[in-house]
Amino acid sequence: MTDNIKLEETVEFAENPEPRCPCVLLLDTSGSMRGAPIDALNKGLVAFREDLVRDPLASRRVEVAVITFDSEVKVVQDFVTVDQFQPPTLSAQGLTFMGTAIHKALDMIQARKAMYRKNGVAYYRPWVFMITDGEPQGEPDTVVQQASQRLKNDEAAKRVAFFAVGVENANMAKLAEIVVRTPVKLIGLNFTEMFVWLSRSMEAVAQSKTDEQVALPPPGWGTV
Amino acid sequence: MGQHTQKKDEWQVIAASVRGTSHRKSNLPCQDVVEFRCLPNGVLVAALADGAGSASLAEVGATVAAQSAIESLSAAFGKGSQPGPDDEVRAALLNALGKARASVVAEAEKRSVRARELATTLMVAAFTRTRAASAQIGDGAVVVGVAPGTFDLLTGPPKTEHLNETIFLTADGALDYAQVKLQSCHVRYGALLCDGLQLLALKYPELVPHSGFFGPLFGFLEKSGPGEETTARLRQFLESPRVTARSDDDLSLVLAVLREQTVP
Repeated sequence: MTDNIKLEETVEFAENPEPRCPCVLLLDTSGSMRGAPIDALNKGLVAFREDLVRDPLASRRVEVAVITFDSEVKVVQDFVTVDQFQPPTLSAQGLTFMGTAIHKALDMIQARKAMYRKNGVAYYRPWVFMITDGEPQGEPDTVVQQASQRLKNDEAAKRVAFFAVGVENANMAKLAEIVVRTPVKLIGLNFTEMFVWLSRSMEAVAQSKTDEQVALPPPGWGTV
Repeated sequence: MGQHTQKKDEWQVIAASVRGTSHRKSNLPCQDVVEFRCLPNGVLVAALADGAGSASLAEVGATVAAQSAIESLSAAFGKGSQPGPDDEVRAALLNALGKARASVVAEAEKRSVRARELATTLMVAAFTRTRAASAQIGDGAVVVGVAPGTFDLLTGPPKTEHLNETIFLTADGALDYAQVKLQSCHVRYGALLCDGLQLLALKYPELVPHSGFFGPLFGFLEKSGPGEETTARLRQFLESPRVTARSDDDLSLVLAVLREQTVP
């Protein structure tokens, strides 16, 4: 006979800080993105938040940061958990400082990890998701080369998982030289579907272990 | 009464594996498998395998690993009246991991798929009244308790930088990463838990078993005794909203209490 012990009420949980799953969106806001592409990107960001926030665990664990790059590299949104993330409305102008932007993303991740460690927060491997419709433009070649080398080292050491998505006339060959993982070409301006996929991927990352970084069905929004 | 009596160790064990809410959402089966046996000589052996969410045949890998492990553990620890010296125990545990790995690789070959499609973690444990021992590859934890409120971690999750990276039984050289731990103590409780429960049951980053978690669970088992109803209650607990709000992965738990019984 079991007596009436309610396990749900008597068992206490260890008070550990919620583990974090950092995700940097690295977005090209150069002049060529003006018009339909930037509008579609803005809508995609809203869809990203809406999809992630529906998953209670992911909305507490996934931390989003947004960096834009044109002739300037700007942190539009420093790391926040999804429940606090307000999608920005981006506008497009200027050149494409991609190398500087990659450096900035890797810097932010390094700093974030240091903060996690200081506060005893466990974390998942950070993701960077870069979206561009072009190629590096307006910065010295060496900046791009150094950024690419740093990125390759970080990928090799599994410090980050860096994904690149090309839009419309993006130079896919050049992108493939800069990053490690095969860049994906967005079909049309299907940012919404892409961001919903990204959201689902983050949910998957934030809940289970994988032995490789993308263990997800191939995206329906792009081609490789 | 007052007659010739003999002490006989009796293990009371319950185990449950439930499908995580995320697995339900993405239509994945439960990929955890638990096995345990109370051997005639009083040794309790147990195995817990947690299939990788990313592997297409993870539940097959976990089943093959856990079954193979429990067979080799039963053979090794069922001999004689007590387990042998520490190095024999250590070798038996590592052998169980090695055989399980070979079985999973063979199953992959039979199905003409890569072994990683059957990726799984594996932990194995053996408990007697005076000794507790475990070995594991990948995440999860094995806990031993000597008294209510006094619990020790035997083996636990390997220290990796990122939470979602672990070592699978099927990885190259996986056996080199095996953790093994033996402890001599007055064993009263033993537990195996999968990684989905780690954040609830262990205090990070030191990985100390949280007595507020284990105390009530073992207390419940001691009071209620093993059996279908107790197991159903454990399962109910693992599926309760309080738990699933904190972890949406598959959840598995083996709980064992040693009862010293006096029999005529």
